[in-house]
Amino acid sequence: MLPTRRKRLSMVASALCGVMALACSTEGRIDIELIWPDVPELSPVQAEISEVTLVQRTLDMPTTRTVYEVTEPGADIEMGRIEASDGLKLAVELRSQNQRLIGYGRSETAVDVSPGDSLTVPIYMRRPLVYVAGDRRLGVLDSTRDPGKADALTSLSATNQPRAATISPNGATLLVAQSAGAGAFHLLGLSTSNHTDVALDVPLIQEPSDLAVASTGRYVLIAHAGVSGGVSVVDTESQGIPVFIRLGSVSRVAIAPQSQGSDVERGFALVDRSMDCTGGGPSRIAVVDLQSPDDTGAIVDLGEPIQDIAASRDSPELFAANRCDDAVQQVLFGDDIRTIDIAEVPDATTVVALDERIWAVGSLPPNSNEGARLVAVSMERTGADQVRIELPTLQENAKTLDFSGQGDEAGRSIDADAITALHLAVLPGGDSLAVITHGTFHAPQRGEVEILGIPFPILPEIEMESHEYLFVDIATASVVQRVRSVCELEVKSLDALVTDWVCTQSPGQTVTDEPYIPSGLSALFGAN
Amino acid sequence: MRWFLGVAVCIGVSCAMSIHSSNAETAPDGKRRLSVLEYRSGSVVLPDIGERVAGILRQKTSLSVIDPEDARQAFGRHLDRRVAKCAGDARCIARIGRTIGADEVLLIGVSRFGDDIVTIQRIEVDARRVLARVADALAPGQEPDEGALLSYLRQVLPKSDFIRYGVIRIESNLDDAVVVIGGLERGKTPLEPQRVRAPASYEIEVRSSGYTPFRASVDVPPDAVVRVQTSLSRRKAASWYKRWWVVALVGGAVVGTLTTVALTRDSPSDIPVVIRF
Repeated sequence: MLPTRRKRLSMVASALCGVMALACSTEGRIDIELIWPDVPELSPVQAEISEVTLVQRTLDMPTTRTVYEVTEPGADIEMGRIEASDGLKLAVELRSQNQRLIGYGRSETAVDVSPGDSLTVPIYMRRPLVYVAGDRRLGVLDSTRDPGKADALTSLSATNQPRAATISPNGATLLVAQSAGAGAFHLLGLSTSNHTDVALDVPLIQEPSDLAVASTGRYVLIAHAGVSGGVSVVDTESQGIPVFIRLGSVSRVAIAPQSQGSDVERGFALVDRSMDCTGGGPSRIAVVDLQSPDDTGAIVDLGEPIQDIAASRDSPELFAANRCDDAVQQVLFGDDIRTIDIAEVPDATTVVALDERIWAVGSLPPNSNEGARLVAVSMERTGADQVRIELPTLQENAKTLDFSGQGDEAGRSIDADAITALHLAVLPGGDSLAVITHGTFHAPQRGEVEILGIPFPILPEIEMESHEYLFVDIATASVVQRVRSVCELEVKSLDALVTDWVCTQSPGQTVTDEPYIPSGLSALFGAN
Repeated sequence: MRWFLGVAVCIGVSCAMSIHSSNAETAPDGKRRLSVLEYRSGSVVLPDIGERVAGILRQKTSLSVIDPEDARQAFGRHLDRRVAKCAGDARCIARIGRTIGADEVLLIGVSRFGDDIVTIQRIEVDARRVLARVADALAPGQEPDEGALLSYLRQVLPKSDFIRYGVIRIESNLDDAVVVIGGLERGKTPLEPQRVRAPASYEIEVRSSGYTPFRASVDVPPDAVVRVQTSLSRRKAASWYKRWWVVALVGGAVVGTLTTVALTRDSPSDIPVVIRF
């Protein structure tokens, strides 16, 4: 008896299912395994995760982002499908309900994915912390916490007078160039999983001023300022004595691949960095061979003072901040080394490269309406697609002690006369940036009263100077975190009636217990 | 003597002082009703400052602004006399604000104490208290321009008031089409209207398997709704030999042959991804 129509259709369906099952078993899969820190204080808070974004980058294709809303915290997430390709770099962003970045991680190296492959890609997940060097201990600013909360600003007890810090490309190791005591210095590697386990400890020949790490994590390039300065190249695999190259005073270093897609990287050293456009001499660039540092070539004169250099791990270009020309420049290496302007950034003093974009911070002078303020510009590597944000004028507050008592205070809020960005870090995702500033503030004497026929100013002329860390939200162009580490005040009019003035906290500002001048800034998984 | 002079300083010499209550920084309703009132004491400078401030607020915020003229119509022609009688007292001003129907009052005071002093107080009507205050002295002949007035307003109003939004409404002839706005996937059609920052431009893509993707760039003004009507059209029909029922029939004929075909056919070029927590 012939099968009924229903039975025939069932046979077709069954055969089809069998085919599909076989096809699925050869489909492959990518499992992204998130690795969390040992210590809860360093781990993104899983209960706060509202959104997970998978970022995929390859050399040939535009960056794609897949966003998934989390309904069940801690459960595995099927993030859809990705195109098989070579050189795939993956990153994971975790955001809270108000879109704050609370966790980030990226694949250590690029992955080659073929159709049908089954892979596990481990990604170290961390909070987007910002590390600040310069104090007795390395400062740790937690950008996921509200400013003013005690856990937003802490310090690493395992460090000692750090001069500069950076993070290994996979985010697993914090590299700190610091004092080893008794006038010696060393490069210390701490696990970012707990901030205590030591992964690396290499002595340095001189006091460090900056450092950069290669994308493989193998080589660390360290800058040494001072007349007899230069660079040291540390091989983290052998952990042998670093190779020192004498170049002169080196304040900034950067590392980039030799060419697009190349595994071989080279270092760049900014020699004779100068912030002075009138009296400062020209800066120079040295190209450092990381594999054979002794083969480092000649130092090339750039013709004018340069304040900062930056390179990314994705492309061979080198960029420079040139405040004298109000420009971000690309440094071109050919028969001659020369610079070309790619963007106008007033008073550009800092530049970093993050993924496909360049970030620079400069400043605008005061005008009749407002004081000096910072301006941040991001752009593609060619200078195209510029996004410019102008921050509000920074103010410092001074208060007088002449009549402070129960519920009675008087003060002045003084706009900045000049603001200079000294260090810059951009957080992963490019939504926030951290900047160290130096500001000067001036308030003229005000008011006049006659006493026995003699005029006296009521409020004196005041000058203030401060160093501050700012955490900026790009979307709203607002400063969401301010930490002041130095404030100095000088009363210029000693005949004024109210002369006893001190620095005081401004609204939303935190003040460090001890004064220090920050010497470096580094964002976990970011650019600095 | 010094103490007395100090009090005089606090009242109105040239310093810019901001006083913020702890509640000033929580994000209030960005569309609340705010009335701008003027109060003068011995000064005739800046005759139209109330109207200017109201104009700036309308341009830069989404607040529902009641300018001084609107306020006189709501309260009556004796409004200015009543404000003057309040002499800056917050509770008195708040009562006027309630009569006008405002949630907050921005009281702009212009007075003379040596120099001309301009003060701006932001008063919460229900609580009858000052939320924020700024004061500045003007040098003789100096008038604050739009930028200066805006900077005063930024000191007394929360930052959230200056962040404006618009709405993008996506309409599609298909359900379950993926909607991407500004590079971010927002969900599938039919999609709730999406609130976005404005003014700004957004790249929009709507895509569905088997259909030609829709792409557009839209400019979103503040407080506006931008409708984007998408009509996705099917891609060119697959050749007959790729139709599903042909494959199913062939597959249903000989299972062994199908197995061989499945094993030798190329794997799909895209691969599923799973994130493991």
